[in-house]
Amino acid sequence: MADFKVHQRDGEGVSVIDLKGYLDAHTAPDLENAFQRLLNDRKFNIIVNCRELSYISSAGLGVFMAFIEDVRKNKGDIKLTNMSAKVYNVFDLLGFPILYEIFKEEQEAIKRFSEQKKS
Amino acid sequence: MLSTGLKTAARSVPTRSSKLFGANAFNAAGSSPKPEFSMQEKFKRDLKSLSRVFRFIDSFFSKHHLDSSKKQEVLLAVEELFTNVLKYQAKSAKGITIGLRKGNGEVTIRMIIPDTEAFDFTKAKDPDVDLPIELRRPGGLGIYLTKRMVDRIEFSYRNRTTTITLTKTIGASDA
Repeated sequence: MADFKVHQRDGEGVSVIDLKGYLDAHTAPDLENAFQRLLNDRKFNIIVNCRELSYISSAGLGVFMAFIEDVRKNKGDIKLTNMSAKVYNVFDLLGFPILYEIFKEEQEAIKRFSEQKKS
Repeated sequence: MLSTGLKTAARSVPTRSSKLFGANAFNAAGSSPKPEFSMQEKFKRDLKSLSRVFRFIDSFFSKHHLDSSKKQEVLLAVEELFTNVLKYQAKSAKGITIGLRKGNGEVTIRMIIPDTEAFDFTKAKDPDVDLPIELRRPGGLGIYLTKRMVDRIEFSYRNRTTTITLTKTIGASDA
């Protein structure tokens, strides 16, 4: 099975987390740590790029739930991009598209952050 | 002995109401005799076992040349149940046995969990996935996902042992 990897990149006013592999109950703490580091650094504009994410379970989705309120209280957001159909399906079944903005491409999420900053 | 079956709402029809069937209805669903579990393995009650569980299911799907999208759904259903046991039935150190078989156009997954309290999760109330974030409460999402990943679930409890049988229909070309 594929391992799970979290990689962080910082753009202009936006932090991007790249996910790769299987996000399950065993690997979810890795993502939790990544979010926690961003919050500690007061980085609240977060994009999670799921291009190489092969699998997600409720434990992985729970990590997004655990941080979103703190992020939004600080006028930031977590936006999701580049999901495969099978990963999107899990998000969709649990009603996550009404809770999070999900974009096809990372660039669209960056643009959205930029628009929100202006307004 | 407590025994129930749940015909799930299936992923393609994500309604939130599921119809309950008795265990006999489950058994009568296939007219042909069911083959034995061709693969069976015992796993420690530990999160670290998850990757081994995944490899076990992966090797079954590879061996039988089955549709990998169905594999993802089986992995998800099994992970959610496995982690549920770790969360709510953590007192025992006894391992969880998972058996897999293919036959009659279906993949059947059987989990035998010894030394458990009785909890028939098929009767658990589904979470409201249309609620806004501030009204959502933790819990219930994993079981909800399991119900949507497979076609039938049978639960039985006897002598402190829980047996969960999941059935996933596979395509005709895979059968």
